[in-house]
Amino acid sequence: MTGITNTVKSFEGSEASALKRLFWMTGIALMLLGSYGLYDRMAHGHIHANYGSIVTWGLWVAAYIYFIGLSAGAFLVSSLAYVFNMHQFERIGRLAVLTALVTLLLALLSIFFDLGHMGRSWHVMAFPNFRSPMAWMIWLYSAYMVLLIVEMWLLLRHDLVSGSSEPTLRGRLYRLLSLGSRDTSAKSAARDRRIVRVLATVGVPLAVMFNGGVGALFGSVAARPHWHSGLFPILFLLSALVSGGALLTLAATVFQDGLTRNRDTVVVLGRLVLALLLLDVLIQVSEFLIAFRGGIPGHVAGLQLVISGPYWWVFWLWQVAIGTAIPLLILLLPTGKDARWVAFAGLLIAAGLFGLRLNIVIPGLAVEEIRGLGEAIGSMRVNAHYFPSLGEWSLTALIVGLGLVLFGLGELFLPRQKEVA
Amino acid sequence: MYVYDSKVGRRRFIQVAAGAAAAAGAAALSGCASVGSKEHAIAANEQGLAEWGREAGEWIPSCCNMCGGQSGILVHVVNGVVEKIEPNNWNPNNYSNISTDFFQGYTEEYGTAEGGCICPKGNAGIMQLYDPDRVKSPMKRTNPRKGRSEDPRWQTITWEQAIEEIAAKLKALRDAGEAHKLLWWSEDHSFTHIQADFCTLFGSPNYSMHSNLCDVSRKASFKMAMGDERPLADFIQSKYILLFGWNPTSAIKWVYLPRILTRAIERGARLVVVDPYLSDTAAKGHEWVPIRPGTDGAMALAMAHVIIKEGLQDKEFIERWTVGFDRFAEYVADKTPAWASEITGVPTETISRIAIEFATTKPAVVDTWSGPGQHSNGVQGGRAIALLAALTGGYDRPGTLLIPDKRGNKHVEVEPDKTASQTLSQERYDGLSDFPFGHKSGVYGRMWERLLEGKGPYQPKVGMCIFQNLVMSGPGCAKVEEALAKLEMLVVVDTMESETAWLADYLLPGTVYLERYDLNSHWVTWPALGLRQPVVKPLFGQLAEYEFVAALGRKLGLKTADGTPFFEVGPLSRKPIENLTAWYEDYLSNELVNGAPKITLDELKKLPGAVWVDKGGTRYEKYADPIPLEKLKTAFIDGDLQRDGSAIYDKPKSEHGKRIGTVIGGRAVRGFFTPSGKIEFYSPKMASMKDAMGEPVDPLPVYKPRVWQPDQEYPLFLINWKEASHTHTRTQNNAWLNDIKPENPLVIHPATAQRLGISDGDMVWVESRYGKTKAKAKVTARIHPEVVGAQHGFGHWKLGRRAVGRGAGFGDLNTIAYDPLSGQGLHKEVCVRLRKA
Amino acid sequence: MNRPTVEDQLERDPSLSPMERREMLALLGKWVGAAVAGAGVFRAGEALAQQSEAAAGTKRKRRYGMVIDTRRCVGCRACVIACKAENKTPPGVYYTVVFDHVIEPRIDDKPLFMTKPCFHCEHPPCVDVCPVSATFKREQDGIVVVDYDRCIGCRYCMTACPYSARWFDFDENYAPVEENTAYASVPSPEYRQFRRRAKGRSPVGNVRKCHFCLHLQDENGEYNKAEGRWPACAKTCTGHAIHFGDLLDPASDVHRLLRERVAVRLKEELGTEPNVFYLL
Ligand SMILES: Nc1nc2c(c(=O)[nH]1)N[C@H]1C(S)=C(S)[C@@H](COP(=O)(O)OP(=O)(O)OC[C@H]3O[C@@H](n4cnc5c(=O)[nH]c(N)nc54)[C@H](O)[C@@H]3O)O[C@H]1N2
Ligand SMILES: Nc1nc2c(c(=O)[nH]1)N[C@H]1C(S)=C(S)[C@@H](COP(=O)(O)OP(=O)(O)OC[C@H]3O[C@@H](n4cnc5c(=O)[nH]c(N)nc54)[C@H](O)[C@@H]3O)O[C@H]1N2
Ligand code: SF4
Ligand code: SF4
Ligand code: SF4
Ligand code: SF4
Ligand code: SF4
Ligand SMILES: [Mo]
Repeated sequence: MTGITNTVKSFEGSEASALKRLFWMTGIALMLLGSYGLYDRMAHGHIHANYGSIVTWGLWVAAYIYFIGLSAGAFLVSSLAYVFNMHQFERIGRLAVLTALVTLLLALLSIFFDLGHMGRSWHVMAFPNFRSPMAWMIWLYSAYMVLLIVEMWLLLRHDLVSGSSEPTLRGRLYRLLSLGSRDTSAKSAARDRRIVRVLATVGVPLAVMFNGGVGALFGSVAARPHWHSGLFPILFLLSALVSGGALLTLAATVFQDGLTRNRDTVVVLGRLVLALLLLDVLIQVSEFLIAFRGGIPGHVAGLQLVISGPYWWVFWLWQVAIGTAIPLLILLLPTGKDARWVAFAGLLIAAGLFGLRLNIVIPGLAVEEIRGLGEAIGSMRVNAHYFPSLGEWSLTALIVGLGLVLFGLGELFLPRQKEVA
Repeated sequence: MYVYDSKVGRRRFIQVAAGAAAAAGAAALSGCASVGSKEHAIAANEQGLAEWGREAGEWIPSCCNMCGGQSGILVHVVNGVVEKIEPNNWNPNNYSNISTDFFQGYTEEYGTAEGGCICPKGNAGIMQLYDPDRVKSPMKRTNPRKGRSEDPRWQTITWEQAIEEIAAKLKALRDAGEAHKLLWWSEDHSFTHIQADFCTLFGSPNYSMHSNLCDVSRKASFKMAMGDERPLADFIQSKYILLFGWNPTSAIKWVYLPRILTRAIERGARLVVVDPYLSDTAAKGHEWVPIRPGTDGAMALAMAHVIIKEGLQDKEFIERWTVGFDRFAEYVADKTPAWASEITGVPTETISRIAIEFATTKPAVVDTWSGPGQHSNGVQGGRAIALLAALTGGYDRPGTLLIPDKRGNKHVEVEPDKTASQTLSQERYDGLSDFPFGHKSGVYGRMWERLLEGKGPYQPKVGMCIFQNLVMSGPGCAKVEEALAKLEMLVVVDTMESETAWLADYLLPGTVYLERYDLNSHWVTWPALGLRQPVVKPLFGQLAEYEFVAALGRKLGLKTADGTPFFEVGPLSRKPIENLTAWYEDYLSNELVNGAPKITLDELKKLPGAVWVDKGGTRYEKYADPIPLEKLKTAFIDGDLQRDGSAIYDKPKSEHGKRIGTVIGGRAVRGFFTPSGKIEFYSPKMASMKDAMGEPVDPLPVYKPRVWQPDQEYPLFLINWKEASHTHTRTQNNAWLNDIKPENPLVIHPATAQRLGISDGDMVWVESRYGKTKAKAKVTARIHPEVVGAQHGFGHWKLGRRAVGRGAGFGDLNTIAYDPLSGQGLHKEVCVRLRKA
Repeated sequence: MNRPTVEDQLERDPSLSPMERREMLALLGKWVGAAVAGAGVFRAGEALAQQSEAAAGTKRKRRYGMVIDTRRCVGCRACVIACKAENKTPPGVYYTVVFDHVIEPRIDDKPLFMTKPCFHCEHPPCVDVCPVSATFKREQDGIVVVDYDRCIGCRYCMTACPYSARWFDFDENYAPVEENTAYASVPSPEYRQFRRRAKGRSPVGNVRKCHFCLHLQDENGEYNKAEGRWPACAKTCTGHAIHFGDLLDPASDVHRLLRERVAVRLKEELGTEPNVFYLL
């Protein structure tokens, strides 16, 4: 523990810039590592992926629902400021919206690369199927994306217009981004805020719906007892909030003076995350209890895979220990008042929830629908065991790295959050 | 699509291509306005349909040769490529082995009522034909050392060079009066006649075939008991089917077997399978009787004991058609179920119950194949089983073991010239005549032994191996390799670079069956013959095996006794034929015209499905058939026409007369082709015979334990078997077949596994006193606790990229072993111990 | 309507021994991983008659289906290969597979064989979930198809199929195709589209499944056994275990068998109503 404390301590003072450097290095390193994955995917399609026709969704789909969750969570936190007027959070409002936008982009990229035919994504609009949860989900997050972009732009517009007169590169960029808007009057700013408020208000149910929609996408699959639960949409929503909030505590700490000026915001955010996490645990525990008490073989089989299958460690070490128990402790103990610790807990939770996502996607598929399928034919694609391939990990790394870099660029080039009264 | 049309003569193409294509586009259209996934048109590719559809190209009737089953097939060839292989509905071999079943609902246009079928391997022939690992051109060895780890360092050569050099070596041999020093091995059916002719004209008595690795022990057992080499079980009309070590629904010897067996069960027959392994056939059975390997004879004798004790035998049949019953009854008097139970591990009550069920259910059939047969006591054990059938009158009656009337093409024997005759009269190298029930296929094991020890009447110099994987087919892989390496020159003709090919001095590319001819007299109970014909040209421009043989014969200038250059003059047309294929077509026509069909090759091609089927059909109780008077007039009677037991031949024995009957009850009837003309429970003649080891032959089906028994060090029996997914050692590189069976786990009983700490999926070392191998464990109660076993054919170190290292090979755990009565290779007699790897 | 239980029906089938009956029930429980009562018995006579009437008023002309006789199936897997040969499916794609599941509890692990194509469910969950309407159930004959040009390869349908009847094409190839032998020029006749395998081109990257060899229908949507236009798996079946035909046609083999014999469908409790039945 002292080691960690020391590490955390070392960030104090010049801490923010050190953290930023680390952040950039991580981002670029991940992108470099990930370039192989991109090459492999583009050159060879799915042939080197390790999913098959039993476990047909893998790491990329898990990454997708993970990022989607982050996005919705971050957005909902931002709405605390814009919709519910919790001014405390306004300090990180833009950051939250930027986070939501970047993670949404990552989500879309993850699922995009997972498609057998990426070039046909537009088919979802051209040939709709109104009974498909996936179609609904796509339409909803398309709408959500538009909303996010508009909201982001409105949040920045005033600063963009102001900054566009500078003769620097930044000035030119701002001019471009301001899309011809010239109005810097207080009136226009107020109008922007009004629209943001409306958008954010619309956005809340939208985010809830599409995140719940992702939950429904899984929950409605009757063929997979592990997923087929009414709790799924709620579970998705809650864990989205938890992960989004957790990520924001971290982002705020690194980019929004979380160790100095916005210390309190981070700590309050930590409280919020704690509350959500407790709720999340409650629902998850009831999901397990109900399943085991109910004893429906397929349902239990999936959960058994989770807790005692070949990847038990994803659950026990990653999801439970790293993602839940340790951060809970940190947040419950006096450390919960220390922004550094809170940020660290945020990191753990955000990382741990990826384990949760994996544990939703894969065990749900890894139970043979008809016993003996894996032995019925000798093919690596007909196999209930799945571990992501190098290419899958690599491409995921690229996406994460890209997220860090995009976020950093946004943070670097876009107007910084002004001190709000 | 191939639909037989008698007016057009061969086949009719249904012209629906254009219309169907247009319709396909429209057919899928429908504008339903539901909220769900909407139906919409899926556009068809009309050009593709016209070029590649079922109506495009040709459907050529032929016969499969993925195994020796010779099922009828229809091959769809488009743009010179085999697109698909389907069953040939006109071929009885794809449907039933009795004619009433075959003809019921048969139409000339469609064939059999329910259509034919082909097994997975038949469907996967395409992958065999287009396997990129095939041998593509003749190759010559440049590394003089031979062995598993010696790269031959092949040098690619032309066919001309290959034939030139091989012929030169053979010529030298012949010129030196050593033609008999050529050993020749072939498969037992494909283009065998021309190979035999070559050997005769060249002057080597050493032409051998794979049957001695296969079922010569069964042949011997039945020959001893009832005088026919291969009676066939009439399952579909039977009510009780008892199988000893015979796996017909999975080791599909003929593809009609799954149908007639399951149909029999559907019609109320009871199926009982005696086998150490719960084979896929046993899985269809009502009862599986796990037995200790090599003890089937004891069980059969005990069953006979019960039947006789209970007086359930068919007394009338025994009285009229058998000899030696009393001595047999006396012999089995103490072969009680309790006695057999000790030996076989089968409970006493089970033996008694099955005996009674078998004897009281009519009709009942008992049959056996490789299971008991590939053990050192297999011949007498099989004979005991064959005699069970005799006890119940179970021969040649509906629902029993039928004597097939297998007239098809006729091998027109060639007369060797003087030079050839001299060496031909030499003793065979394997000393086949030492084997009282040996088969013309020879005794491979004896050859390997003699080569290794440098013994035998002379030392062979050249080996010619066509369509055999001698090394992998064992028994005793390593020893076989060593023996083959002793030859001065080994020529191998194979489609793949097999383990045997790896030892060759010359490796020549063979043809896959889709590239060549053959005539197939089918193993059904009445005469039927299917044509195999080339559906594509040999892919690499290679010679078909028969063309290679003929080319070699031409180069050597081999002549018949009357001075005709045999391989140059059409045997039927009597005219010189330059083209090798045309010459062979004439050769085949000759066999057809002289055989039962009495038609030419071209006429055969025009029959529905290119199958000739005798309209006469299956006949029963043929043993009671009187010999027609006109035949008697020209017949040769060995003894007194008035005396019972005098054998009747069509010609004097000195003129290769064939047995056609016997005098029984004062009448000349067909009877059984045993010395007495009847089924022999006891054979006085055998009493004076010696086996190949010089031991006296038991005149009764005496049970003796097999030679190799488990001991403290090697406590487990190791057996092996065939499954529907592969043929012997030749299909493990087949891409499709590997999908349905990628490897051959070693099946271990849970009790055994537990004792040795082995779990399902573990790798285990399997060790015998001759060698060891690593295998993956499959723990299941499908096997006798004292036995472990696996599918045969895997564990290649050559053959092709896909095959190498796949599954486990058990060949090195055995040694050269053959049975002294028939020369049968003993593949299933091994004892091992296991150790977790 | 009161559905008869499996037990009721088995009781009425005189051709089954009590032993077999018990085994079959145990087996079904194992296969579907659910209570045996879930695998319902189809009372064919009545149900099909009703459906024939109902179909008269709609575009529905036929209801193609299979009746697979587990007692005839010998587990040879010829059906698996015949389907490959017909449809030129790549490694990893098997429109039908054969289970050789052990009936437990038994002392001898005796297997029972079952081939399993797509069931062309009456209510196919796979179709409902497709975001782009690429897979659908044909009105006229109930065959569930995939439009390769529309499918985006999201694989949602695979997760939704309760019977593992869908397969993703990963762009793998068998050696003769991979290494460009003459066979590589042979196209797949599926949907009468005659596509040749090419990197990244459909059906690579698509989900694929059994389509009852739809391309063998004539312009009227009919199959013809005599002309060889019949599902490849059924045509080759060594045990003659696969019966195919129009379930609405009282003269068909499949209709007759459902009238005369006991049939079950897998996971009946899901309400998918498979059109593939198993005779026990
Ligand atoms: N798919 C396929 N079919 C084939 C072939 C092939 O290679 N593949 N080969 C063909 C050929 S050439 C032949 S000869 C036939 C052979 O056909 P089978 O005679 O059926 O051959 P196997 O499968 O070798 O052996 C049959 C059974 O004998 C059992 N067995 C072993 N030892 C004993 C014993 O001591 N007693 C008893 N009772 N049973 C024992 C084995 O467990 C096995 O189930 O198959 C033919 N059909
Ligand atoms: N352990 C064990 N051993 C056994 C058996 C067993 O059950 N267990 N079974 C035995 C039995 S029953 C038999 S019949 C024998 C069979 O033994 P073999 O007759 O040797 O049969 P395969 O092992 O299939 O080897 C055939 C060889 O011919 C090649 N070949 C295939 N098709 C063609 C062709 O069209 N032309 C040419 N030129 N070559 C071709 C193949 O590539 C292969 O190398 O094996 C016996 N060996
Ligand atoms: S049994 Fe199978 S492999 Fe053998 S000839 Fe018949 S179809 Fe071909
Ligand atoms: S079996 Fe599966 S793929 Fe086939 S129709 Fe039913 S749900 Fe769809
Ligand atoms: S994989 Fe294709 S058919 Fe399946 S749901 Fe996705 S788009 Fe539809
Ligand atoms: S019906 Fe056709 S597509 Fe379906 S499994 Fe059979 S052969 Fe394959
Ligand atoms: S082909 Fe027929 S008998 Fe063979 S596995 Fe398939 S369904 Fe069963
Ligand atoms: Mo054999």
